[in-house]
Amino acid sequence: MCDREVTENYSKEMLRVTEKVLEVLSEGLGLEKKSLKSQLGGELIELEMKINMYPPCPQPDLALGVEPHTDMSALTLLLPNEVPGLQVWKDNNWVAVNYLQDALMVLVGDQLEVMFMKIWILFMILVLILCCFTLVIGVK
Amino acid sequence: MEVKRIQSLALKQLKEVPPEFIRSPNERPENTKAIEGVTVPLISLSHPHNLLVKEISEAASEWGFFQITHHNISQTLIQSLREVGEEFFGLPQEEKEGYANDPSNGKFDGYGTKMTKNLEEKMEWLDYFFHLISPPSKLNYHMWPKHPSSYRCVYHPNILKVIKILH
Repeated sequence: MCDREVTENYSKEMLRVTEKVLEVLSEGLGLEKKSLKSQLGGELIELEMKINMYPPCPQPDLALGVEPHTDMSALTLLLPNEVPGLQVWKDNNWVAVNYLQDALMVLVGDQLEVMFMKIWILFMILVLILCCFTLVIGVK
Repeated sequence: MEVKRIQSLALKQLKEVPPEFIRSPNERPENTKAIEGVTVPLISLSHPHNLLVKEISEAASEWGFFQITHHNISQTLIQSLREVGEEFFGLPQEEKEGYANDPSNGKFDGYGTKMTKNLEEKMEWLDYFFHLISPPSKLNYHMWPKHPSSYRCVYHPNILKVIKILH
């Protein structure tokens, strides 16, 4: 039923990385390391998976794959592909996210954002049209 | 209601995108160009703990974004994810529609195309497949693709348990 090569499992791996990032973020806020995870449901923390498919577009200069937005999640882990297009908003400019084969993009979502900002600033991203797809994990 | 899928639109080899996709000038790529010389923080999870706390906290508060390396997720697994994803979107349209979600009725799991419209009623050029992957007690397995058969192996948090139950 399963490919033998798939020895690890994505859900477990995402949970592991998420827990690690939440622990470090908790400590950075001066909290106990399990604090953020427990506020997000502890062992019942919800992970959502989204595979985004961006087909070829006849006029990519006029349309967007994803419009400017903030993520409703607490944390989003993004596995981009080598096709550029993801941009993040920083100091009134868009910054392109460079694809690095071994890197995972982490986005602080709406639910955690308020804890990190003295002033409410939106962590905003947009996606120009990419070919193929990206994988997104949201932690609620 | 039949939903217009972006993948089906793309197959029509249109010369122009339909008007509902055309962005106002301020949102178009030419006016949302990225600036040069600035990159998102890149942080290795292998850094000593105290340094890692400092780096990630700074990136979270100053950027809200960062890239992490040395996360120990194997390239084989990442490759498998890409393959099952591509295989799912490569299925016949009719089969994919069998997993169609219905966000307006609160059914978010499954195959979808964003229908929520913004103020300008503009649509996004993407289709997606979405579902919960944890905690196991809340998973809605019947919305998980049967094809490719390796899909469940890659995404399932408790695949061995399920195989046991099925047998």
